[in-house]
Amino acid sequence: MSTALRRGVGWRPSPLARSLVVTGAVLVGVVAVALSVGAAATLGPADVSLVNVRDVLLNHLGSAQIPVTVTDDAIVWQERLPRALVAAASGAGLGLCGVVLQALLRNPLADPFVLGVSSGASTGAVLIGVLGVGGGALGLSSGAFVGALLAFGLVLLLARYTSNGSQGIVLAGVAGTHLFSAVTSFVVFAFADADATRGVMFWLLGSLEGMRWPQVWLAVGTVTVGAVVTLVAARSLDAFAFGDDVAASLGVHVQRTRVLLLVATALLTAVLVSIAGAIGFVGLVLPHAARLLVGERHRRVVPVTILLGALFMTWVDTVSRVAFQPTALPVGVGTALVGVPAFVALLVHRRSRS
Amino acid sequence: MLRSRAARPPLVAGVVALALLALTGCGASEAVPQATGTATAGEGTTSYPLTIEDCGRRVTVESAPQRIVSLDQNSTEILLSLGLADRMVGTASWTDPVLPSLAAANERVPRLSDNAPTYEVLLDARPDFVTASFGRHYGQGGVASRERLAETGIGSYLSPTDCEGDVSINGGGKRTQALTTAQLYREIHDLAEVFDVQRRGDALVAELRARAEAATARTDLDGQRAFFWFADTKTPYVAGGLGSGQLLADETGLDNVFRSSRDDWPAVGWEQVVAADPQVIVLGDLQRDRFPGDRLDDKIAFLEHDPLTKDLDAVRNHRFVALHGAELNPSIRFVDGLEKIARWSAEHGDDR
Repeated sequence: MSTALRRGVGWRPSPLARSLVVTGAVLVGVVAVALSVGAAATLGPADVSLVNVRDVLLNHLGSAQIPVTVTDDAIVWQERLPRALVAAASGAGLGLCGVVLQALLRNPLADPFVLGVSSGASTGAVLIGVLGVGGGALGLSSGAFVGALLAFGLVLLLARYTSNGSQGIVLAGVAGTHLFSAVTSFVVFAFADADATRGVMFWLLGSLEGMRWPQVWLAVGTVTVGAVVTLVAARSLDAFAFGDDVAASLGVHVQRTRVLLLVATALLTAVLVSIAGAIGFVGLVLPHAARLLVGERHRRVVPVTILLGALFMTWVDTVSRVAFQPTALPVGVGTALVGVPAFVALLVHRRSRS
Repeated sequence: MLRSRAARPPLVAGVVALALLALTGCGASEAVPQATGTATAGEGTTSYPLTIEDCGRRVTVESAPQRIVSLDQNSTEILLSLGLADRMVGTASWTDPVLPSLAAANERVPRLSDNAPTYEVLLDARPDFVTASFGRHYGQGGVASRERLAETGIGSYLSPTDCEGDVSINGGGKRTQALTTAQLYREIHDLAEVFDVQRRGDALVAELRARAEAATARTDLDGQRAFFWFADTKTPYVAGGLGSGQLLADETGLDNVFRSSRDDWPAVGWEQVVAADPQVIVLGDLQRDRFPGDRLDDKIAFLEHDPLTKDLDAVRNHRFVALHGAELNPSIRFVDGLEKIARWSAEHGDDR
């Protein structure tokens, strides 16, 4: 709020100039994301020359027929590129969910997992991975997806029958999160041995190991739909910042819009969690970073968060693949290790300027 | 806004292509290296293509693999024992120092990582065949699935000691039948066949069999109650009734007090241990410091000072047998484990 007011008294560009600046910045961001994904395809523990990377990409993107080894092709096209794209999509999607939830719930500490989605996902994954529910027909991913949606549904029900408003939803989310965490711990404690849990837990901490093209399409597609929905609703998100009553007086269908956006973010988060596990930090902090950069208006915050998230995750994952070889650092660890200092630096910089 | 979003995918592809061209546009494509002509010949005892049954799947090997990566230490030690060091291009997941008799051969093989490597590190070794003792490497969160390896023409093998049908015990399954020595020897025969060194495989199995028989022939601990303690002081991991610890017990006449558990290494409480009143305690002497009590000295110190365990007869009389981690797990060092129990039995077996 204070930022918005402060910006209001300074120089005021014409609406046309301003939208040109925003469009230009977004274009630069898109180019930066594309370059980062391209760079990620050239970096990794395996020794694949730049020329070979180019040839592999030309073969697939430009239908060239340059001979390359099967191994080089697999490393670049089946490992590094899908992985970088899923990283970018996860970063964008989690950032997006963070923006929406922080605005809807008027809570700066809201993140994509505040509504119990990640703990529901772990319960689902553990039930599949440890107890073998579904007899192997369901993978960990589908278990996580179903678990995430069940948890979210329960939280919505709780919120509906206990209280109204954003605070009630947050409290219901806390209750749901703890309940499902307890169920997960119980299953692990009672039925699992160390190795069975290790696989599930490693993945739940956030992992981009073994990403393939089907996951890429799923992640990119879902995030794109989510981004469009959010951009359309950007004005309503601005209105929510002033509270439900003001939003209603501004012509927003408070209850309907809130449920619609909550369901949209829950679906998006559930898809991302089922692909790459619960990657923390991104959804909580990047929206704040975006607000520090471009103010409070969601027409700007949403695209900037999406691009920041994509850039950030692509590079964090690349660094954690390269710097910790021959074993990869779980990406959820890397996001906080790299992200917290960067965020603190941004806060300090901002303060020293004002 | 929306217009620029819609233009995104072609824009991305274009930018990537432009950037790559700018970076490497002038570089000539590199020649694809041909398969090395100097293939190391095997014995000629295996005829290819060979199809073997491995963990519920049929594995077909077109020709003797020339670039082998072993993902686990036991697999590594079998391959080295079969004299295959010159065909190995990587090892991983080390839990103990290599067997002294194999140290020289092991020097010649690159160690990809101390723990599990990533998929890309594995591919960088350019393997044409991958072996593993534990199924977790092929599962979710592991190195790569076997299907994925097959996509790049990499064959794979999983130890029968970790399998029951197509279920990997280590990958999250549970045994329903007890592990047998036949499964241990089957792994050696399988690998010897895949790599065309069947005579060496037969010799290795014969040697291990002879040593195992020599050790067990003179050992019968006459049903003494035994507690196998692998690791951890808070909730000790102990040998269950279907795994390799039970196999050691069966072969030497020990009565494993936790044989009713179906897990390989279930975690139990000290109260259960004391209630079972073991007469012999088999201790894991692990070469790592991950959990309290990994080392032999720590285990003994714990048993002698813990108010619950210090008055057990086995503790007062120091009836301890120390085995390394690999000797307690399904591996060729299982025979070393048998020999250690036999030696202990000869010296202390009767003084109870």
